[in-house]
Amino acid sequence: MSGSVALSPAPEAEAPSTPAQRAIRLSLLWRGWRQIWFQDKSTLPLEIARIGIAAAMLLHYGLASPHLFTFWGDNGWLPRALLEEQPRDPWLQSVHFYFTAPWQWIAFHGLFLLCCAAMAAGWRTSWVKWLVLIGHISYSNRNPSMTYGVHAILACLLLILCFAPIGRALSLDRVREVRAAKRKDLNADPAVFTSPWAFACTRLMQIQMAVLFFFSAAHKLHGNDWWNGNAVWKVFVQNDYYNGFILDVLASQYWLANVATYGTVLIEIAYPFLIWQRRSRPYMLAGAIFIHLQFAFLMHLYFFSFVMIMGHMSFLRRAWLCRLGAWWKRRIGAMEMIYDGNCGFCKRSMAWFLAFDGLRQIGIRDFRSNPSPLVSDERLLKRLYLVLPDRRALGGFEAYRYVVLRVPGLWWLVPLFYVPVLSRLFGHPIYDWIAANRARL
Amino acid sequence: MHPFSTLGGWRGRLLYAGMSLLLVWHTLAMLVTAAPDSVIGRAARPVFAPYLTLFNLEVHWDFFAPEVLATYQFRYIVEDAAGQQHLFIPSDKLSRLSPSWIWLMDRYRDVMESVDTFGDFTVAELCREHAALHPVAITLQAVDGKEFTPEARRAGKNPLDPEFVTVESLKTIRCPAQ
Repeated sequence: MSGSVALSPAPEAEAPSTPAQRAIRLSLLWRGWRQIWFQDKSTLPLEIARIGIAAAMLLHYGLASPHLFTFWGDNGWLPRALLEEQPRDPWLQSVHFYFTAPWQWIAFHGLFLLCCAAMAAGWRTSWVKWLVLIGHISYSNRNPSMTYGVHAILACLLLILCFAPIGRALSLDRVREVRAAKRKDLNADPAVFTSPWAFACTRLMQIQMAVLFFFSAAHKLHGNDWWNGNAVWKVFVQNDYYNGFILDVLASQYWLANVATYGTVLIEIAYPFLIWQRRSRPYMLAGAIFIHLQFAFLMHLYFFSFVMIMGHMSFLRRAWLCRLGAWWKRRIGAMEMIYDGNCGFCKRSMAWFLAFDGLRQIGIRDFRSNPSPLVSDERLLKRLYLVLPDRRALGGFEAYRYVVLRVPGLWWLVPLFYVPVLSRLFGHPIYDWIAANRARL
Repeated sequence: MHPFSTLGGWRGRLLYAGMSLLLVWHTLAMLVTAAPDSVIGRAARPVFAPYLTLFNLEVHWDFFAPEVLATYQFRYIVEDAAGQQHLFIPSDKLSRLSPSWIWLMDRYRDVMESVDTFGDFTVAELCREHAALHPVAITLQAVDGKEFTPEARRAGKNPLDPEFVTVESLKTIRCPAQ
């Protein structure tokens, strides 16, 4: 009996795994890996980061334009001759190293600012983002002595945005795509872009922010100022961040300086660990945004704080944004635009207009094939109408004026439609002329 | 329909493998650049160095750490043709609302730290800026703060009051001939 036991095969757990078992293990591993990196999700959090980062860069570098040659010119703050005296890593590159005439600086700066604007608007995003990255790296490398924390963060976030398939939502690229579909059929509703790679890049940005906070806290824990709770006091004593009011408050209630110091370290330590959990994420995000708002308003680090907050946007859940969108739609209520389906110009302009309606707040009705119970055909022959939830009907210019304020994708038109007196003064006759001549357009 | 859904078989696997490699590589690069000095870090750094340098990713994330620096200020004295001296404090003129503020503050810090490197250009520029004074020479100064306590603040003092700073004249440079 014992012999037979000794000769019997080993228990299953100890047996060398069969190809089938290995395949199952590999499959489980792959499933876990996909769960971490490759979920099929939209680019929405990255798009918010894109818009914020590109707009901030446009403002930041735009305001540096008067100092272009001082900051980055050959005879400026860091002359090229001086830079060439130092040993240079061949991987450290800048397009400014190759410029020889002043117009090249100006042309490049102009192009770079245009690319920042295009990236913020999401126009030709797939390639302008690379030009923005190259420009940013070039400026930083041309004069490394004037770069600071935010330039490093920008480079990190921009590279991730370059990897990512951005420009698929909240962008002019998306508007173009939707408009093309709606020109064929006004009721077309192209699906929201989702991709495993979009999620992977969102994850990369999340990891970037977590790494940043972790090491930021770790470095602070080495210092006596942070251990002793004096760091925040010392920051406000610095000439760069001097704030007389805050200093007075902290001097009279010094415990506040201790709380602020330890609170900063606590949030920075907790963030990389608790940001991943569903329950703790909102609190961690709120904490991180709170400390950056403090940096912005108390230390005047507006650019740095804004860029950091945009990095944190990678942790936004799609469900939160959907809930926000649903709340907005409920608040505004359903709107129906009634147009002339026999007019090609009307259909083309409707396609263009509806392409900006990302939340799909506007319903449409062609009165030729589907007459409205509220607005007569005679009135509709003269102008387009918008029917509101309370059954009011606004015609022509007033319809557009009402919509641009209530559809977030059209907010960029608000300045045009809401100039006191002037908008209505010119808007009504222009609309009426177009409506009267629409058959010829 | 996104490109992934149309890829099956070995092409899909290859694509995912490539993407996974890039993700692992970039994540490791993020960690290596920020990690403190260690045996592993020293071994890994040369592998990642070209990537980190090319994309400007070399950073330690050590904001205000480990210690918060003492206060400092850049000043300069313009000596005019009549021998009169005029003191200027550039940071007082800067608006903190301007994004250029921190760049210019960095610039003044660089001048203080490397006056031999940046002094001549800075003085040439300042001489042009103050041409109305007919400047002959400019003396660059660095102000270093000492400890400033809450008690001092309660007594109505400021961090840059003379008793809390030391003023060092870094270099006097003559204005270039106009």
